[in-house]
Amino acid sequence: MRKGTVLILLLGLPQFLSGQCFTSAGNPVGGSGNIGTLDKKNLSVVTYYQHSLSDRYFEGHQILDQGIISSADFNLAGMLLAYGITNKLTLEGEAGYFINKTKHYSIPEGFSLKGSGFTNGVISAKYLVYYNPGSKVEFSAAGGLKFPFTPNTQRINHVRLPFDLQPSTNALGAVIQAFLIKQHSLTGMRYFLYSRLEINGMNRDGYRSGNSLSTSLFLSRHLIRTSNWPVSGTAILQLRNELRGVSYIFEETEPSSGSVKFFLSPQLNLAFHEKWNLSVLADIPLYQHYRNIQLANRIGFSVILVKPIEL
Amino acid sequence: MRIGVYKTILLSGILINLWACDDKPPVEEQPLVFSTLKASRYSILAGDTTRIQATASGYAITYHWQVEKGDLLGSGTEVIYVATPCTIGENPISCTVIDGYNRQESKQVVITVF
Repeated sequence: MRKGTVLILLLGLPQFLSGQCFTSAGNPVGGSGNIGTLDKKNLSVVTYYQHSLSDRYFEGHQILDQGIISSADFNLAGMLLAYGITNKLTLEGEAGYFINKTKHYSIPEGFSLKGSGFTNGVISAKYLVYYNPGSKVEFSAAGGLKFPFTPNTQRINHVRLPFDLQPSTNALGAVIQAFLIKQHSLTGMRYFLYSRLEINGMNRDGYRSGNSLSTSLFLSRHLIRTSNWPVSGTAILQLRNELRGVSYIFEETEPSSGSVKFFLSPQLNLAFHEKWNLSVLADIPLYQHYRNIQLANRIGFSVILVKPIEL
Repeated sequence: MRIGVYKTILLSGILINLWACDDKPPVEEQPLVFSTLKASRYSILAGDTTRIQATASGYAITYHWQVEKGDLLGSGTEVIYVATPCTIGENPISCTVIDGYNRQESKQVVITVF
């Protein structure tokens, strides 16, 4: 009945880490998730890969000359599992692995620092609060626990990595999400509004990543709808706002943390025999405003593969 | 029968030798001495770097570094402190030396970033 809403979108979500001077490359600007809840006994397996590059400094919304870090990037692979317990309740688990989170320094010695490892995991329950089949409006909400796979910060050769290169927050947290969906059968258009709030706790080393609120508006439209074709396509346009709060070290404010960003993310979704979904997406920053001086986003892209399974 | 006994004695001898060659600390313990922790410059501008050097002696020592704000490059006896934009103010950098007997000593230098 609501299978149409089990479209996988790249959501402007998990801030696995709000970095101090380096928010972007330390923070995935997207993730993957199901929009809405799944039908009972349906399983959805989502795997994704993300790349992000940051190579310029901002002070406020002004671009500065090159700083001491010439560029920073990350490559992240992740997975999300969702299972419909009932037609109204879906359980979700998500986690990722940073293949690298790297900063390259523009100093004569030419150093770079690299972190890698598991992100925080998230376990959440999503509930279908309202569904009107006549007007095709759906609202669901989710709440979950964000947890680290290790409480210890990462060290390389006995030197602690900067907090913005740590793959996880190394602390507990909470995630609250809300989804609003409106469909138009005749035009093939769908509208999604998605919000995700992440609250982070303090880790053993006294660092607390800033809380974040990400809000996305999606417009989606079917491109190919021929029953003879094994492939159907959907074009999706996402406008996303990311608010990142300041971070703290032993409850002292991190001076260069906190930001307001807007992204435009065009996405193409291909469904093969309605058994596999493949999505590609680009993350283009439209507007960025940073508190004090921070390394800012340049571009990001993601590839998502989804396998819905009816058990 | 006799050959079997010889083999057993030989094998035991080898095992005892291997055990004796195990990487054990010397009987006479070396003292752990953390002499100095120095910076090439104690005041720098944001976006600049300074070298921090530790001098210590002891048995199988390792150098453990950390800083709250800013980045540390390198490892061992010398690291480079990078004053990223968020480091304006005083930045304590700590170095802990741990020896093979698991004894440890720590020192701190403060780098002021303008």
